[in-house]
Amino acid sequence: MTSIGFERVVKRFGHVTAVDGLTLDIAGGEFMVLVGPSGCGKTTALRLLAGLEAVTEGRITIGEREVQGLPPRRRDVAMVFQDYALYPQMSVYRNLAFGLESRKVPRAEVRAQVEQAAKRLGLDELLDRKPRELSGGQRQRVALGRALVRHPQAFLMDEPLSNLDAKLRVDMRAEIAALQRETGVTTLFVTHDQVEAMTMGDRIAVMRAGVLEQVDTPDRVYAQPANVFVAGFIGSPAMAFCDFTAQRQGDRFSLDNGLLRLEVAAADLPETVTAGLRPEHVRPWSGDGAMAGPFDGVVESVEVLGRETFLGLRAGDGVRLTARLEGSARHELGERLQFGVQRGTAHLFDASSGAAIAHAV
Amino acid sequence: MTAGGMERAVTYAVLALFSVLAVTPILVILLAALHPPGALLTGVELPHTLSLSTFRFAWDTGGFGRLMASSLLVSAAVVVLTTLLCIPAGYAFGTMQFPGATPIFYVMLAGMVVPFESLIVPLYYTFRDAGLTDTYWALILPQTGLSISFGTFWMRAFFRSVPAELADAARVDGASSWRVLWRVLVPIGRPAILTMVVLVFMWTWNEFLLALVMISDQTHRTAPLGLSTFQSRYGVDVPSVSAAAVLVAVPVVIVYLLTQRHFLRGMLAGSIRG
Repeated sequence: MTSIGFERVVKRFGHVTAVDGLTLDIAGGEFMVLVGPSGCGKTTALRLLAGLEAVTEGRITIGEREVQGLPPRRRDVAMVFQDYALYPQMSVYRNLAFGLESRKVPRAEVRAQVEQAAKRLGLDELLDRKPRELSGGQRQRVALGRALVRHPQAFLMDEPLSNLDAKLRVDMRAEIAALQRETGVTTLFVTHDQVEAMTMGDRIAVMRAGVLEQVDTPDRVYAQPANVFVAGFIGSPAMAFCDFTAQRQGDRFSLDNGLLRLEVAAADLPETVTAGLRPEHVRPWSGDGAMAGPFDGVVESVEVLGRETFLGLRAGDGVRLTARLEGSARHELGERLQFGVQRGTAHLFDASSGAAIAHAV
Repeated sequence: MTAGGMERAVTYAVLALFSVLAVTPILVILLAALHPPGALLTGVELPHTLSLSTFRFAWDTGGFGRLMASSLLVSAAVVVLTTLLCIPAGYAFGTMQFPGATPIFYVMLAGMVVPFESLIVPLYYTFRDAGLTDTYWALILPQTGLSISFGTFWMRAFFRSVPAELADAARVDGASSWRVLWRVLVPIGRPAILTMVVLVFMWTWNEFLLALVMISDQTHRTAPLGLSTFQSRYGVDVPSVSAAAVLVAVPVVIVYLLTQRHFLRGMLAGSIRG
């Protein structure tokens, strides 16, 4: 199994720096998800690895080989594109065989490999069809098959699920993860969808504006985000942030912003901190001693999802939180509601730099 | 009349006007060709009897069998050379970044901008010094040179319009630039390539001035030069020259009809993406 390494990789397009000093090690057989908002440089990083863009500075390694000077065909990686990029004039069979034929694999072996991959992906009935005769999901499978059939050292996937409908996306998510486990091929998967990132990756790497913000397992990125950006990007609905003045009270700190008041356990805090509160830790007031509150809020939005309901709450000017309720809760827009925050769940960040100070306090 | 109906009526009126303007000269020539050879025509006149004899007369008198063969040879050579050179050139300009790409491309475009008439005299002396006048090369080489400007421009526009992911996918799949071009992009580009072929064939086939300057012997004359056969110092045999003009136009019409479907698609692709 092949490891992949980015070492202080920089990519500039003219005056724009798309990737800024990326250092990332992906272990052999690992499923790494590169996630971030549009324009954060994640696709550029993938294209640098594939050899489709030239590195401005830094080193990229695949296994023991330094590859930044090699053309794509010498890197032995397979890539799945957002728009599938199937060759429209070729049948499914020819699409799958193209990579092997380019590498001068004997014809009998090509046939055997293509048939094996087609069978694995349920494409064996479609081998004679042209891409235009396939549904979106089938095209996606062909694109995956084209990567699979070559037994490459790494799979590179550039938002491969973004053109599928919601249900198919869930199915394909599981399928790709299973395929990766089965083959054990090192995978770099790019997405802007944090649900995909959380559910698929062994580890996730969060990027913003060309800079890698955090790399860790999905649960640790969720539970211990490195900064305000990561905390706000990972989790849906997003974490809510409020600025507080911190005052020491014995071995604890009292956080107050005039609307909310929280007590947190921390060794030391600056005078001003930003607290992040996840929706699952904000609930209508029940008098429960495990909750801080009650605080007054007004319902600004109601999202009933059946199994759970999210309420958008406004507690005074500029303080907005999301509360998560079990089941289908009936609340009206504009309704006044008392809510509480579960103690020991706040994430604290430096108000000026945004860097994390403490978690679950 | 609704606004939509009015707009449609105006559209049809404009289209009808342009259709009449385009078709009228063709009809006038066809009508003239249906008169007997040597008939004196003073304007648009309907023939008294319908006869195709003028076509045979024009074919035999002008020696169009040989002229057509010459034209076909020259046109085919120019089309093949242009296609083989413009596809890789358009691919390079359309998909690759290399030092000097923009200035070199503008130099190529100069062939479309500079009037050919201004080049013909120096071109004649160059070819005469090289001993190439009165050979097919004197027609093939300059016309290939001229067509390359347009062909490269055209193919570059096509290659730029193809989603870059297709070439990227093929490159990651292990294909060389050459294989990406011929196995992935050229098959997709058939409409654009056929459109270029038809246009270059048509321009080469109809070229008159170059052939007139470069060719003086009978064996290398091309079909458009055959039209001058019917002009004497005393006047022009209008029915015969009309019939000859129709004969000269027939191969172009056949090529167009054979490739019509792709031609229209290629023109449309060029107009939208180019």
